[in-house]
Amino acid sequence: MIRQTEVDGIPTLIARTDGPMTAGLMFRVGMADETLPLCGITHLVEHLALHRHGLADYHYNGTTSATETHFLVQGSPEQVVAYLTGVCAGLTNLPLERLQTEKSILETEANGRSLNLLARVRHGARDYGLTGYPTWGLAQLRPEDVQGWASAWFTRGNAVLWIAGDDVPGGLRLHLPDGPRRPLPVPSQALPEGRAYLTTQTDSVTFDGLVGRGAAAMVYTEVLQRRLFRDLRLEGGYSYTVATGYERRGEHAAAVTAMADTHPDCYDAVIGATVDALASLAAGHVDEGDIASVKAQFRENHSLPDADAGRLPSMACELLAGRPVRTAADLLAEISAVEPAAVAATAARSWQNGLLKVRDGQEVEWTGFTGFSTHRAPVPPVSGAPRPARDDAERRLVLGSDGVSLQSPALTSTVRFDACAALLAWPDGARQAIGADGTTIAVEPTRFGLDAAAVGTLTAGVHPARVIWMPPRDPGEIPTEQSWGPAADDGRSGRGRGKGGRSPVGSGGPAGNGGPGGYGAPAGVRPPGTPSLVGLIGLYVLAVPLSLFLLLMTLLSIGDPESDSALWVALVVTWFVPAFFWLGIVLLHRHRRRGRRWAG
Amino acid sequence: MSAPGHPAAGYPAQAYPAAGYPAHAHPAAAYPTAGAYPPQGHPGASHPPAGYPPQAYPAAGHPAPGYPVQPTAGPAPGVMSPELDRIRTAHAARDWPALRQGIQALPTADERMVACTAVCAHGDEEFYRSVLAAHPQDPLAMTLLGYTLLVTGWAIRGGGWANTVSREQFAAFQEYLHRADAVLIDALARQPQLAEAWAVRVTVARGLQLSPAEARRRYQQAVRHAPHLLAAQLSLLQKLLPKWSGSWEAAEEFVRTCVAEAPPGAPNIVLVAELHLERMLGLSAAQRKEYFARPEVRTQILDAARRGPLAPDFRPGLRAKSVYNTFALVLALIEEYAGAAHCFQALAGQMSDAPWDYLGQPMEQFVLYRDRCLREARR
Repeated sequence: MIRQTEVDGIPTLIARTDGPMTAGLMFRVGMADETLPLCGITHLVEHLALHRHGLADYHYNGTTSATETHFLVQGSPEQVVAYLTGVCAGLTNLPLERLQTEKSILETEANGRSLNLLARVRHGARDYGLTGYPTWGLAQLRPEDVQGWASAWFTRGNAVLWIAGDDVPGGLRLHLPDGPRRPLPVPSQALPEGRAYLTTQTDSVTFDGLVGRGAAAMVYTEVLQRRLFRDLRLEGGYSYTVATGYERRGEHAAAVTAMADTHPDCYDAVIGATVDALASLAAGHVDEGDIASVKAQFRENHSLPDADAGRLPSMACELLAGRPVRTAADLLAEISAVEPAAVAATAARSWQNGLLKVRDGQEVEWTGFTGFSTHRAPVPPVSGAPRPARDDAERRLVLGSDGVSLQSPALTSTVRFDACAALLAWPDGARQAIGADGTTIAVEPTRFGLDAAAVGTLTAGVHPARVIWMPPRDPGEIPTEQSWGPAADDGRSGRGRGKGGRSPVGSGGPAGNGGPGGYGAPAGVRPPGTPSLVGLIGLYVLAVPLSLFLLLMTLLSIGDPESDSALWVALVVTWFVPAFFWLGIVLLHRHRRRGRRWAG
Repeated sequence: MSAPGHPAAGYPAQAYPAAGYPAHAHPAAAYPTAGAYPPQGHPGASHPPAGYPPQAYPAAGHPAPGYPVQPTAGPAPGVMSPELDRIRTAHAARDWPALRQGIQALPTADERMVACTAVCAHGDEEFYRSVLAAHPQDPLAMTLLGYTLLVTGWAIRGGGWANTVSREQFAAFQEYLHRADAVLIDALARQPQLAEAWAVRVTVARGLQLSPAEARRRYQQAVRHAPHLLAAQLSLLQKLLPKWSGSWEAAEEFVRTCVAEAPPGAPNIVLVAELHLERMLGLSAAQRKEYFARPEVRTQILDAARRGPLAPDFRPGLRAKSVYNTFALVLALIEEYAGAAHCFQALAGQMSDAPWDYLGQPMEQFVLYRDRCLREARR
């Protein structure tokens, strides 16, 4: 039984528990509410708000998801009061002197976070798609941005408290600014209807389908898990882990995902079996036994002693989304009412707009899925003089007054300034324009022959709030005109023609111009001067013995009182010869080191 | 149109129009039995699964001019098939209900595959698209469309080794196979037990160079719903051969298992003969002679023939023509002329291109071997 009350105007849900008191203060704000330049700001607020707690002797945590930020605690009623009071105090008065430190901590944490590339492809560089982007703008967030964000979103009106325990602990006050309840962001669609795939560095196969939210979708998620487990693990023996997930996307939709790991030799068998299972479910072959077992599982979960307490966080989510709090009986009734036809309809919906994430280089066109970048709805290209890339005359950049286009025989990508989610800007002039639909265009000035004025025009076209200034690149990573020259593509590299140039953004950075479904880094340019190895060895062979010989002669001359000045002059002159060799060695080494950086 | 080349001899690939070859304009349409051979092994890196190049000479059943036909007691059961003729007639008349009914009436999935192969040999994409437009949920129509796309794509690729295929040919070939697989996925989503569609997908997996694991998954689905499905076994055997990045050991093990599990009198025994013919392909004339003289090779082929065409309870069904043709050749190669003559007599002049095209011009080779075997057998 879940009871509803209020604490300082904040809706509060209470359910009994056999364990220690647990409580959570949840706000309707998350990554999906941010913009690309502000990506990570909610997480930063969460970290700052918890900083003053330091090393408490009770369990507490903070989490930031796509749509909620959650502060939770377990301990005695006094500890719960202390924690929640502290969180509210932290939120209203963030320890902004900690800003720099917390940014570094977040960047470290981000390195371990996997980006939701499927959401990024499906929704673009906005709302739910932001869960697929790195937090590039974190470094340039100012103290007033962060406190402003906290004041706007972490408000009394936008919060729900839940308590697993007997009652609201005595003395609990939640001082927060007033503010409105924020509706869930509406999920944007970056792709037209149809199935698409993307490739990235992964060992598993992941599917993602967008369906109507509700009991049928929840049952489908579990039915899909059972079906894939049977086909992939029990029958095929291709996979060890087969997992499915259900994630809310806005008021009306949910993403159903399925992930299967595998051995590289069985990789396309996992794709084949997964696609066949999805297609078969979509065609209505839903096992009624599976549905019955899923329903039984739900019933069992909801009859556990602490089931109501366990449901508190999800009910808090529902309440924040403006939905009524349902009893366990309501939930079970909804699940029980799900007919096989409704599950099949959900399966069919997920099949119609399904996305597949597979490993780099994997061929999947046979499944009927198309590469996402060719599948995207085309944006009208901008007009202007095309500038061919130095390394590929068929690839041309167009800088227009209203945006930037990159033309290639297969695809023309366009980012219009009025629909530019962010412009990444490096001090060396490199730019990367990211459209709201996720289209990414990397602009290397040396590749397209852009001068500072042209780069300046591009930068000025984008609203200053959308420009993200990136830290300087390692000088060795900045391409020069020679890097793109014909010499850099003489066919000896075996990596083929550089497709999109090296993305200035490292891991997690969108390469954008790779293959039709590619998210992997595109082929880089060939390292300049690889054949110099032979010359280098030759110089060493000449320089080392000659130097040793001259050194010996010099030492002998020093020890010989009879050596005359003519001998000394001859020695000094002869020393010039190995000196030239050594100079050559040093130059070649530097040349090669730069080449390796390119290749890497 | 000239006679097709021997793919392994580096003949140019067949230049089929990319899409929708109109059946009435197809040279083979005048000879309904041409191209009716089921997917089998081939000297080249890739055998067109069915769309065997149309022949310029009179096809099976017609005596070649200048070569007298031996009088025989008439063909063995299944060599001539009124059912198959009716199916071909229905296809030629664009009569979908009759075509569908004719295929569905065949008793086994393998015989239905023989029929599908016969009617998909003509690259007739337009016809199956029009059928699907009228019957969008029909898994058999989807299977025939998928099979036709596969055949058309393979014809673009040509039958030669991979290095004889141009980049453009390869791209078009892959594109056809992608479309084929997508429509077959759709067919199987509606009718997962449609073994014929699974069997076609085994060949698609080979053309797409998917992993052995995926090819075998498709094969296992096929035989799960139609045990001992020979069409699927012949296709997977190709995938397991060294020419498709497999190994002789894997292929031999597969054939042993299939043959051991097949019921008595079943045509699956032909897999043994197929494997020996595949072995023969990489050998010179002298090596071939030596190979077929080996006692273990003779024993294997003879044992297979005794379980197959020489057995009184042999029931090859619509596989009869291809199985008798294949055994006629391998028995001739081990100089078991009486057995070979038995097969030739069972055929009563009904030749198929395979396996004779392994040796040269099929009709010439057929007549050459037949006359010699009948002569030797009479001694």
